[in-house]
Amino acid sequence: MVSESISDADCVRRIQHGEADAFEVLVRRHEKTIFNLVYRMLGDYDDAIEVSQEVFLSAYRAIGQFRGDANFSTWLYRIALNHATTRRRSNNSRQHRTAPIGDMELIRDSQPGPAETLEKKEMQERVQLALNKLAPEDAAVILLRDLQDVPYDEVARLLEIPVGTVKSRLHRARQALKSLLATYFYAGRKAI
Amino acid sequence: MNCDEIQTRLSEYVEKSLDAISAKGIELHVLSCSRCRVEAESLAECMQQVAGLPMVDPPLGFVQRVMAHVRDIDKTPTLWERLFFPLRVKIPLQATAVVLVGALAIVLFQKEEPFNTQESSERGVATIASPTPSEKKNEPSKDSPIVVEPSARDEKTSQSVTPTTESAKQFSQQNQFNKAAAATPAPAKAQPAPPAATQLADETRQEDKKEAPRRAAIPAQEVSTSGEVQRSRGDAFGLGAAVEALRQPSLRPGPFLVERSLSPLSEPSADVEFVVRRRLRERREQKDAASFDAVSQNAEAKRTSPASAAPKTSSLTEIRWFTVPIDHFEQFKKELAAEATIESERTPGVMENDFAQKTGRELLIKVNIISP
Repeated sequence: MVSESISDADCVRRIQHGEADAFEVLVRRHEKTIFNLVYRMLGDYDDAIEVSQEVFLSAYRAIGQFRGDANFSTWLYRIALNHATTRRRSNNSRQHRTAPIGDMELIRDSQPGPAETLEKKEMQERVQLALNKLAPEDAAVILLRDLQDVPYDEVARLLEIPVGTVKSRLHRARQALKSLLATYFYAGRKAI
Repeated sequence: MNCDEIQTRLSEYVEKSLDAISAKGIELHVLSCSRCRVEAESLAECMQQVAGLPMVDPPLGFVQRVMAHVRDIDKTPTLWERLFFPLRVKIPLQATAVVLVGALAIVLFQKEEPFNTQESSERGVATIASPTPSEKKNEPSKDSPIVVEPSARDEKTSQSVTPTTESAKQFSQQNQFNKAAAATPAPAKAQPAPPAATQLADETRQEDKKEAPRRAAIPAQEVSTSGEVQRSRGDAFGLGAAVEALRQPSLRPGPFLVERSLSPLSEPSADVEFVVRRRLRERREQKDAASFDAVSQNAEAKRTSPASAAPKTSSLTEIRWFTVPIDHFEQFKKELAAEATIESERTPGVMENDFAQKTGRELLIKVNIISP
């Protein structure tokens, strides 16, 4: 049995030497962050389960090629973003073929409940839908910075772009998200 | 700093990732500029909303499910592993297989080469073509209206003939020229040509090949049940090779014996049927000695030597089929009589024979060859 306290690098080394059980430690350690990143990228729970599973399996298959130049978590994030982006693109093309969903209007008509909970839930759903509407790379940079709180330099390493580019992309992505949520904010302020 | 510059750095200002001096400058501007203040507030609210998204728990048993798949991956060997592991077992096996396949390929290649040669000679297809004007110019003998055009396969065979085959060919050609000289006075063109004339003949041959598809060729096909048949150029009926086969003291069964033999159902009705008996070798050699010069005899000796080494199968009866123009039937018969003893001659299709004479169709001749 592999101890839960060993570092990611040690786990990776053990796996590379054929100790598959060490991978369980890594899965337990990173399942929540990876699952949430994937879930926020896709906006669908079932898809998130499937894609997260693929992420870990891909990582296991490719772990022989991991040289330890970056953190294991950064490497895992990259795999997760690649898988989520691919799935998101295929989902989008599927949605284009089917009838479009009037997302914003549907949320407004959601089931009533306690006022505060409902408002909070509604806001979260709006944000999720707005994220879904963003370009995958914009959504990724917002989620990494604002949701996962990944440092700029790690985001830059993860996306393989310079830090300056990360900042400008983040600014552009936030502006786009703000535009998508503008109606809500305006309505909120007016109500207040 | 103006509003545009402020707004490009507003995102960093809101998340407090700017240095103190830059942050202070933007803060002063935001306090005085309502437009930039609203922008900063909305941006901060937006970021807050994203950060405030709740963390979702993965389903129960997610880790176990992943690990189950991981163990499946471990159990399933990769393509590389399947091909080469365990090395000490697979590598010798594969090396042995490679050696065996290589040896088999060499054996097959060696077997196929003589087989191809034999097949092309056994095919024995010659076309009796009506000469075109261009051909008439280059014909070796104007008296003979028949031009035997070797097929592409025959050409190929003639290129790769062994010394033995060449001797046979020389013999056959010599035989044909002698007979032609005896029958009709051949013009000078029909004589063995000097080197320049040979070149011209080769060119003519090549021209003939090119023009072949344009003229309507009548095939004079010989069907053989067995035996190796060498056809030579200048042999009027393609008989030389067939008659050569008659001389063989023994028959060597061909690889397609069954395929080539005609079944009773498919056998056509012959216009003329001969039953001939092969002459004994001694008698034939005596006759040859009388009629051919020493060179021909040497060639003959070379030609027959492999056949004498072949296993004796004297009990076999061979059937050969020929299609001959009606006006060359007598010549055919004469040549047949010269090479073998005609035991019987039957003309079952007399009516058809007359019809053939009227219509100019070839006669279908069946020759049953009995061993001496």
